[in-house]
Amino acid sequence: MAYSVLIQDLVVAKDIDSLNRSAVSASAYENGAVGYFSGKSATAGEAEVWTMVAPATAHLFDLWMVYEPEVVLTNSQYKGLDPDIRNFINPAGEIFSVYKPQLGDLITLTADGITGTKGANTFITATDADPFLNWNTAVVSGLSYKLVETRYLSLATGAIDTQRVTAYQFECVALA
Amino acid sequence: MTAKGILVPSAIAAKDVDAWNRSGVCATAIENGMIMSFSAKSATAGEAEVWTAAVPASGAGLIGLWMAYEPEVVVTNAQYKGLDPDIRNFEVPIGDIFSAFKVQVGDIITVNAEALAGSINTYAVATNAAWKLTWAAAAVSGVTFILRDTVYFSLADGSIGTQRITAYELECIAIS
Repeated sequence: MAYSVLIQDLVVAKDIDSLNRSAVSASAYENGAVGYFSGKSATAGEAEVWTMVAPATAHLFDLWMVYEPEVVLTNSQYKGLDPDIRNFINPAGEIFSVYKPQLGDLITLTADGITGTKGANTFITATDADPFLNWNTAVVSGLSYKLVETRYLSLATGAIDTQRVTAYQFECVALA
Repeated sequence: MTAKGILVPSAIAAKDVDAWNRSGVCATAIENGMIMSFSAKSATAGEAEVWTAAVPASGAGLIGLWMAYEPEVVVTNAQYKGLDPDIRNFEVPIGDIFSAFKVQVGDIITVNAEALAGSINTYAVATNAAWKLTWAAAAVSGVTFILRDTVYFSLADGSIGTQRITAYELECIAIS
């Protein structure tokens, strides 16, 4: 199964430390998924780690987006053997990096990071109980991105040939 | 020649955040200090990362705007750069790529009178179908600056004497 791939083309959080945090979740989280913080982790040694949960109807704002370097774990023990970043996911209970989206952010996501079908939709938005942004026809009162263009990511699969997968560039147009 | 707008970005957040800087292109000649939206990328070959500037529209079209700020290298007779030291003669020709930054609350800019439309008032606001900020008596639901001070620019015009012109220091107090 291919997991979501996120490229931070131009995001404000790259230049502002306070828009970056460490998080942990009871669920596995893919890059590009979003959630909010229910509080800090109660686990020993995680004093500066926040507990992330999926967006809720009353909490489609103040969301954070997962972005962790894609070091794939093979057979639950070997890191760095698999060059295909589509196999990367943050396992439940492991600490990962998140950033707070800001208006004007430009990101590129693969289709695996978006729920629903593109069709004629030109927005992706936060949705109740879904860590993935959903294709939508319009912005919502919450985190929303506007489709800028369809493009490609060139990925390494470990094979001799090259491989391109369809991806979409989005601009953040609403936070709340 | 009619004097063009001059912009001094006295203290703006975009100086420290890469994501708040973009390249734009427009079917209209652009002066520094003009505001615009970037709703789509240029379709011209070689301009894959260049955005097409559009004049602010009413309602939501006044929100989250960008401001032109391109180094003032005046083109004389449409071919000679750098001969004219008077930056009041600078504008970005139609179809030329220019730099713009995303306005943020707290930004302080200084502009000359030519960069503003109307007669001096307390606020300078984004207005439907106007490239320039417009003097106003009240803030709007969109990009709004408040007048903080009346100051001067000392400009080089090529003559032996010095030259001062009136300018206005403005602070951004709203972007939506």
